[in-house]
Amino acid sequence: MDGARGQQLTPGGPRVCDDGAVADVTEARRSRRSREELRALLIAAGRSLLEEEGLAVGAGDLTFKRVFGHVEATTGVRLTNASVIRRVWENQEDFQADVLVAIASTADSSGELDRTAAALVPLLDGFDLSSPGARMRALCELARVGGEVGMRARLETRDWSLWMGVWVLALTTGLPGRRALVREALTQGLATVTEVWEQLFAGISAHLGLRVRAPLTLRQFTVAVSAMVEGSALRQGGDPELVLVERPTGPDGAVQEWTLFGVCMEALALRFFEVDTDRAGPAVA
Amino acid sequence: MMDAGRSILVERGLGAGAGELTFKRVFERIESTSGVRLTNASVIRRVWENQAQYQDDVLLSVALAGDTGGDMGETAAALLPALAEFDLSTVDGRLRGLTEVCRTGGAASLQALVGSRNWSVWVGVWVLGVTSPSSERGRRIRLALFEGYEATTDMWSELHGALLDHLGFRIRAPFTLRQFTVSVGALVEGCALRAGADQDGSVLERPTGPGGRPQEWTLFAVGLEALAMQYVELAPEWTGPAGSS
Repeated sequence: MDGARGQQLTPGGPRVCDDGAVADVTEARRSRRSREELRALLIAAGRSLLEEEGLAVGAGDLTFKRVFGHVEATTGVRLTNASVIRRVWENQEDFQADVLVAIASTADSSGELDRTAAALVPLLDGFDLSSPGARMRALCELARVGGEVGMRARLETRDWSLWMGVWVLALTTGLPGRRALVREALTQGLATVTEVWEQLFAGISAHLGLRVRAPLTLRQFTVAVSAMVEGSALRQGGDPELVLVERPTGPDGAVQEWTLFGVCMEALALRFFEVDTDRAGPAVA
Repeated sequence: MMDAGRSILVERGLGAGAGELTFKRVFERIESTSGVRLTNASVIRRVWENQAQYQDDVLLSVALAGDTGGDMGETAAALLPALAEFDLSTVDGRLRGLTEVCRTGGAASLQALVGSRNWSVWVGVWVLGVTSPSSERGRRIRLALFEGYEATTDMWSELHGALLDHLGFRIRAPFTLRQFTVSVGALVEGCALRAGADQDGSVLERPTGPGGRPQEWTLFAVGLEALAMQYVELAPEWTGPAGSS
């Protein structure tokens, strides 16, 4: 990490870094990167390292030296402390905080929403929505299928467990400045993700001809579902094996498999939604 | 030593894993709180091989303690006075009792969990267990987390079962009491995570009081009521709370 202070062999030529590596100063100067480019590069590399190796001891293992090594191995770009210190970050700690904030502000980048929507949309066209009872049955089936897909997507990503680590730092770190910064990013990240999920739920409920029971709101339903999935993933402890329950909920009482999360999704949906009596059928016939 | 270590983690947080949990700091803590003076010679190769092993042991003890230590007592304390007040002589009265238990018990248990530093440290250990590279240490932490979960789920199941018995409800087939408890635990922890990151308390008013009077509900309590309606049903053979004439 002290490579920048290494010995220069010839003016403007290669430099031997303290760790023995040879840095081509001429090349580095020729392709001098902007502050923004460097920041993006190192944030991405930092995130990548944390995703691979975990947050084991906060972000303490996320040293410039290791990040530079990762950048060079993956992109061929050689960086030294001089490339970033006081140009992009004041010090290594600021860089670590920035990586944590980046994770915090993307509360759900796991693709969970895309996968859930992809599983649910084909079902929507197949539902019988001709009666109030049929519309509520469709809601339950969406809870069953969407619940399983969403939970599996959540468990298969390391992004979420990293987010959890950042959550811990935000709540337990003894550094008030960092705590406020990370907490603000967590709040913003959650708000963004909640907004997107809310739009999906709004579309689905409109299609099924359902509305939210007063005085509850769609935002509250979305927050409750998010809390349910986060708590359920926490309970799973990284174990991808889901508990399944058999229930006679299929056509003519046929037995269907439900994840426990799907059961909870159904419970929340039945509490929050009712048939919209002003609506005759799906939004798109 | 174990208690002092846990206290330091609870106070100072797990921001950098257990790395800050040095013997030196733990010794100072013990001396300031109990007057007992310890040195490395007191513990190294006597109790633990080294400091790292001690840190692992503290983390394991957090994991084994489970996720909800403490908040069950506060929940029960909030519920007990209300239980005696419920009119359980009619089906409507029992349903109202269940709703009120969800409202007051839900608020109490969420508040206790959100305010618990133990819980946030436990979540930190969870993160260590789940995000650490595959290793014997990670495996031990995960195992301890699982055992801790099992133990606290058992305790909460007992409380849930007793409440359902008191109010004249039973678990709806094919569900089990344990599944209900696991679902409730997942929801409260998810809500507590949210509350930690987003200070917007999500409290709403619903016309659930006597004569349709508005009452305050936390979003968790609304969800808890939804889970209760999903998992439980009136016990048809129920004749009254235990101990009643």
